[in-house]
Amino acid sequence: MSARPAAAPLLVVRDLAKTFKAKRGWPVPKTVSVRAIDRVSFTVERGEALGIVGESGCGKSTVARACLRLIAPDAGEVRFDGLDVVAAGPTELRGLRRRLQIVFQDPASALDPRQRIADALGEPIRVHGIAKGREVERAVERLLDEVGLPPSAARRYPHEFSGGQRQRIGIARALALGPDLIFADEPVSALDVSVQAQILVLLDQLRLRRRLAFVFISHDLGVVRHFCQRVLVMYLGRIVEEGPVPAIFEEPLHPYTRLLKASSPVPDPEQAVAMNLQEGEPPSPVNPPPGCHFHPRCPFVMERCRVTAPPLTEVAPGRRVACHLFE
Amino acid sequence: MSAAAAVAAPPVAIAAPSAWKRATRSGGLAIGLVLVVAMALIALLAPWISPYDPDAQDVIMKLEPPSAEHWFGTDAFGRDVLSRVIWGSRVSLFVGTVATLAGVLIGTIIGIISGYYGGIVDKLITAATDVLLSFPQLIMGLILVAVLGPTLFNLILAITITAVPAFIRVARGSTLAMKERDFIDACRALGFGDLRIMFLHVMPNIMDEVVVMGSLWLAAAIRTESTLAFIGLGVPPPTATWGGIIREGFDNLLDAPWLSVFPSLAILAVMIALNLVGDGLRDATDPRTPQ
Amino acid sequence: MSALAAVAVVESPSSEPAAIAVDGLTTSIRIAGNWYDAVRDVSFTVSRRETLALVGESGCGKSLTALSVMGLLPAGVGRISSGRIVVDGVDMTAATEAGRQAMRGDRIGMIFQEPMTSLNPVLPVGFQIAEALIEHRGMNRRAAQKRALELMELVRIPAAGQRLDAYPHQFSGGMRQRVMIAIALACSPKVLIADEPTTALDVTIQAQVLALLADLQAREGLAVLLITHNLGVVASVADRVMVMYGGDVVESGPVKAFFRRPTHPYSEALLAAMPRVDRPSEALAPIPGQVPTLPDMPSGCRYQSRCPLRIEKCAERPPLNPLPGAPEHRVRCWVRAP
Repeated sequence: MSARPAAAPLLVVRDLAKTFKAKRGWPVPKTVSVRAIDRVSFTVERGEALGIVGESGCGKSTVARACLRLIAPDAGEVRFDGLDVVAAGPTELRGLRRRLQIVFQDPASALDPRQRIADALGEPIRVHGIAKGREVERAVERLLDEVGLPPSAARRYPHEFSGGQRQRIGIARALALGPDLIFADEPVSALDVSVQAQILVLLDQLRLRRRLAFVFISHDLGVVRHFCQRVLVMYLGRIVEEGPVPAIFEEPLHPYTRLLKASSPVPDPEQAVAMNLQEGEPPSPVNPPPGCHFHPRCPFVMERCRVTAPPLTEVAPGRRVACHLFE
Repeated sequence: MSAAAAVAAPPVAIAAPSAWKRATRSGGLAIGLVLVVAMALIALLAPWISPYDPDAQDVIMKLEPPSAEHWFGTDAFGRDVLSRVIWGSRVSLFVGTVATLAGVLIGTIIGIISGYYGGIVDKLITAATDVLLSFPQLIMGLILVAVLGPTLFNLILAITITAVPAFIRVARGSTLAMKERDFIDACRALGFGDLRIMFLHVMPNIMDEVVVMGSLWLAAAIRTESTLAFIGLGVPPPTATWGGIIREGFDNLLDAPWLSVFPSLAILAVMIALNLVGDGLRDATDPRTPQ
Repeated sequence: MSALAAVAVVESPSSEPAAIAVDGLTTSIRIAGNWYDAVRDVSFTVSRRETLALVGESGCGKSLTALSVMGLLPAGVGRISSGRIVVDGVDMTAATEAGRQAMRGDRIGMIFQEPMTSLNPVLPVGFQIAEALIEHRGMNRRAAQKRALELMELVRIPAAGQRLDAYPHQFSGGMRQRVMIAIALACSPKVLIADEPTTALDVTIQAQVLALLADLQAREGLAVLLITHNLGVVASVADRVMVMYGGDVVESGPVKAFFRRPTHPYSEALLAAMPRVDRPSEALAPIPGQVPTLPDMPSGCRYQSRCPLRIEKCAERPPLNPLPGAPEHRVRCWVRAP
């Protein structure tokens, strides 16, 4: 795909890996390492929303932070519009910051409580020299308008807003530098359903109007199905399935994806969640099982699943699965 | 037991009273502030309000008990004790304030750097802080003044050095907590420099704790200054300082107790006032009270 | 217990008194010195072997209703202004605080959203389960520990015998919630109040815990009051549902009838705002604006400020009227159920 630069994807991630180490135990501390992400590769096209789904500890947030270089990956490559993000020097990184942004889950913690909204939105504009003086004020007003807040919001502090409004402010701040790609890390998980819908509609408008690409991280399959065009499913640091949203949701292939879908509650009593009393405890990311990480919970487990990890193989155009059943 | 959990986290939106209301509800902060302002005014206005020249000796009027003429009595040289206590407040408050401010400034900056960068920088700073904190404050001040010599500047320097590690510790701890908040990551993602993040985003958010600590440390600094003056390591005589006046009075403690009692009461008043302020501010900014 | 089991064989729910009966409950909370009704005139019953779901968004009054039933309103901040609450034959509103405390953990089991904060981090879980039995049943320590092990097996904690002495931090979130369920069921209550029991859990774990709760309910004949914001969970496990908005019950009825024909404009809007995993993406219809704060609540219908069907009459508070032909399905709306 790198042979066709004209159609090159906006973001290319190849074999990204990150292991966290921590000292635990007493009186003799042992070093515990958690392989948060294990050789993760994917691409994001311009204007596309790519979903990353998975449960806690699957590494989805680490992917976003490593791609943004908020944490340093141990290995792998992140290329944004052809530029090497991992190796970028301070000047290049500053340029990349304008084009790659992030929206966080908890809007209460994502804003500086001592900063008025005018400054929270104006500061990046001033720091990057995009505008000066009164132009900054006008830019702030435009941003507020774009996310559906009145100009009077500029004079207020974060604690004066509701959760949904704060999330709008967080989005406006991410837009301030005119990015091409936004990592949205569980952007609607902390919100009530009705407010969640408002934010999803706003993000969708922004994606179309600004031709923004999104990496949309969520544990909620319903939200991903609604917002994204393509989806990655992660389990304990690895991608287990990837493909276009309609295909994955109509016919999930990986047993974990199937379990996720069957467990997701639907507001329809005829489709109660699949309740399996016998299903075991999920393994800890500190000590993942050998072979396929999912094998202790898998109803189709075979002998080799316990030994070798299945590679992510293409089973249909644009559709990849890491499962011995589909080799 | 689960009942306790439910009470601890009532899912009810309770409008919390403002920080100021919470702080002044007990009245402690207000009383403390009034006292502190009053003392600062006395110190500033000493030349106008002290009834006599603090250094003017009067051999006839020596060791006079308190009277209408000399409210706090006179000392062995016939100097007016009230005037000396008023003038002495200048040295005590000045030394305490300057040393504490310097300690806050230096300690906070180092603490933020230590907490923000982490790693080897943090390890070294923390180790140095622990070493400094292992000396009792007074002994530390004593050694420093003894080595450097008892001048006003050295006194301030010594007290500052004893204060710095405490502020490093507070600022570092608060910075570590602040670093967990997403807005710091947001700043980094927006391409802000480390200096901007540390001093425009972290610092304003940790100043609550630093200021509380500062008001308590101001009391400690004034106490240290008085103690050093008492054992003869303060600003050299004849300059009036509270510790110095107490010491001079000690020679005649039984015949003329007022010589030591009045400056001691002055110190006590400052301690109480500053602790009221500190505790009041702590209540007002306590993260456990709902915001 | 055995007497009630005999009744269960007869299978006549109407003759058996409801395990929870709430009649005309109004709960007020204090904001800036003034009292506001945060739960208004709420009535419901829950029978044994039945699950009633209270559903709504934050601030709708669902958790306050549950706290009122348990007698756990924070003193000075919340109070029951009127109404009667009878749990397992005991009038909770007339009881003393000591009386209510004796009910909680004994005849009322409770589980909350955060299993980590509800468990004491420095005590082994086996001890914490046994504690309820020692406290309420006066069991000796050995017998209580033995029963604790049975309970851990009942809630399907793997290798329960080895984990009796483990501490909460050694358990995953799902396992901690199982420990909470074991504590709640220690004294074999007839009533279980579950406030967002699976909200903090991953979906696959949520499915396991819901399965466990359903299984235990069937076995122990529990009356379950489930507080949740998730309509999907409601559809999966509840028998009846009550939708709350701004402290009012706006719609109530059997789950099947409710999801087949959500009738109150708010219920309708809530379902239309929910992205679904079982259907291709369609346009979401967000509810405009936000829930007014209690001091700003409109008089009359509390949803009127956001309602597309608003008419003049909405300035008056509509009654909770049954729908024609469906007496159990009731809606508080002048337009939809006049």
